[in-house]
Amino acid sequence: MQIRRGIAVSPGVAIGPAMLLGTETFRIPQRVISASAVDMELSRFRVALESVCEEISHNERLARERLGDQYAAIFSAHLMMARDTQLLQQIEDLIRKYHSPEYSASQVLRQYAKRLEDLGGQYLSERSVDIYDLEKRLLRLLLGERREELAHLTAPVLVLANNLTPSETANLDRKFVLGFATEVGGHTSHTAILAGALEIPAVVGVGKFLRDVSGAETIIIDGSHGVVIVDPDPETLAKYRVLEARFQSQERRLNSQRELPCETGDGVPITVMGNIEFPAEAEPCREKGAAGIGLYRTEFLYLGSNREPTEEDHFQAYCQVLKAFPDHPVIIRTLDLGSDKMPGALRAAYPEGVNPALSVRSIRLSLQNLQLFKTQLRAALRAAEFGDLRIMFPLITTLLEFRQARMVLGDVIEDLEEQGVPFKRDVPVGMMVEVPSAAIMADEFAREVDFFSLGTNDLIQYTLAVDRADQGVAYLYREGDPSILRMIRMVVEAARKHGIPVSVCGQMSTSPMFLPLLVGMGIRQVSVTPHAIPELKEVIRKLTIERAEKIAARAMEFDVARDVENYLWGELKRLCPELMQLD
Amino acid sequence: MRPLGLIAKKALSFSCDIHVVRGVNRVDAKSLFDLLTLGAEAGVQLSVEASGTDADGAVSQLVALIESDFEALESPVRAV
Repeated sequence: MQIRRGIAVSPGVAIGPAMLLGTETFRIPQRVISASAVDMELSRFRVALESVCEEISHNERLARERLGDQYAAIFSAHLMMARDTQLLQQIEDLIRKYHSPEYSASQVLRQYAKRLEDLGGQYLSERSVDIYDLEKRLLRLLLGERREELAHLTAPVLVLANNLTPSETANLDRKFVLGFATEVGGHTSHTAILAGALEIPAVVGVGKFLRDVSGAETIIIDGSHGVVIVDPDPETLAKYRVLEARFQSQERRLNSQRELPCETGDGVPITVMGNIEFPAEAEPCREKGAAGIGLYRTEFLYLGSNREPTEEDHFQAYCQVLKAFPDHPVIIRTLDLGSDKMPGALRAAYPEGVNPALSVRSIRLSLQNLQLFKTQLRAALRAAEFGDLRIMFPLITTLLEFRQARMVLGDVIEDLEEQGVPFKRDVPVGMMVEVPSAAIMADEFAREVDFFSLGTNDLIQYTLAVDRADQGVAYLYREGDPSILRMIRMVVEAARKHGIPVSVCGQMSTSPMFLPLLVGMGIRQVSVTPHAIPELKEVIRKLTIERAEKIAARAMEFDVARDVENYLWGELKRLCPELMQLD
Repeated sequence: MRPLGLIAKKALSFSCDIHVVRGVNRVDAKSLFDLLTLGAEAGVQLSVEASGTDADGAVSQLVALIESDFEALESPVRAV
């Protein structure tokens, strides 16, 4: 049994057989063979190995003829590996112990590769690549026609991959893919966002673990806690079966309460909205009980294809979201990308910064690229005719920047007017508060903006100077850090003083633990990952303002993140014991 | 061919059991995989052990090969 930790991005528990997805996709079938099949499987393995050797010899000949002896030598080494007696013996031993040749070969080769990687040094890690290559060749021959593709699943699996592209994720067949785990990725990666939308348990950012998995093991993915268990022991398996059943019954209970009003026990309404990225998420988000879209990330429009999106692309996407929410606000955040992620032509115009997080990104990119910015704003103003659309600028750092962005919007309004294009004039314009300078200057900003939205993910990153994706410093990234609480308090105070709405749209508001604190600090509006909405509404219904304020006051007294979080955890447990059954 | 390949190839030409030892690690000299796991770089101390009919010849030839700094190689290569 192996337990791995990653980032929990989509809650729930999934248990099932692993399906390994590589750049070349092999799925290793049943790992156990019958005693009577051993001889047959042994000879099947030897035939495959012989073919691999022939393949390599062929390549060696080609290399010698075309490139010379030195290059051919690479293949001679491969051939020696394939003919290695130790290797052969270990694989055959495993087959004699009733393991399938696919599993045996993969297992033995991966063990060698892993040992080489563990020894360190560039040369040895490169040799491990040769070993993986040998594994691939063998598997391709052993599996032959039986090689399975993600698109042709016929039985339930848990998908394990180094990374899944958004399109791969979007195309996962929910009938057969019970959950997935990836080695890379973070909370805000597209894959994570899509997993939430698909409502399948998912864990990302697990780190290197695929080399230990042959693809035939039983896997547990606990998407609520970010845990992946490979080859669980019977006790662990039993424990998770119980959790799986509890989770499903809780889902049913929470979904049945969808129509209940979203207000605290003492009758104060709290608005819970959804964060989405794709227009297609809008409808499911409404079904989860969202009172509008508090954060519509528009980046997919830029990342989906290799060209810059047209005004019409934007317009159609916005209208689709507005259609799902005819009576609720839809807050469109303008482009929030770094120049490093821009499509072709634009990327060339903006060389990658030294530190992308502190470089030309987000509103800075928009302001340096007015044509791109104006295209998006035109579409937004036009779409605003069809619902309660609002515009939000990301990463605002200085007042001047906000004024500039507003001026561009003014220009676009003039253009539309001159051209006689129908649009809505008085669209509310807000900003993300996610740079510490904006939080510190919130009092000034509040005079000029129509609303604030606290983007806690970036606010934490910039306040604590930590990139959460960097394993070396990720421990510093704590939502409960007292400095973050103080930042939030400043922003809420400024908003209250000037009578503008303030919401929280970062990951922090998606965690039920922080909700009592936020409400106690005066937050009345949050925007969260859609799947979390039913759970958060339940917390809200159990809460009273008086209790929330007490919790907030007490939480502000601690001086380290750990104490804050332990306290909030304890309070949530007392408030909603039945939610905690899952922990 | 790389040095370890040369060692394995040479070892394979003998019928006796041959082991290469580095510190506490003792591996089959005929297995490239096993040799790789020694993680031996240029300058490390290796010893050769053999038992069987042609053991003496195996040890002397392998030691000579290792001590030669792998002259058979056309270009200087890291001794791994």
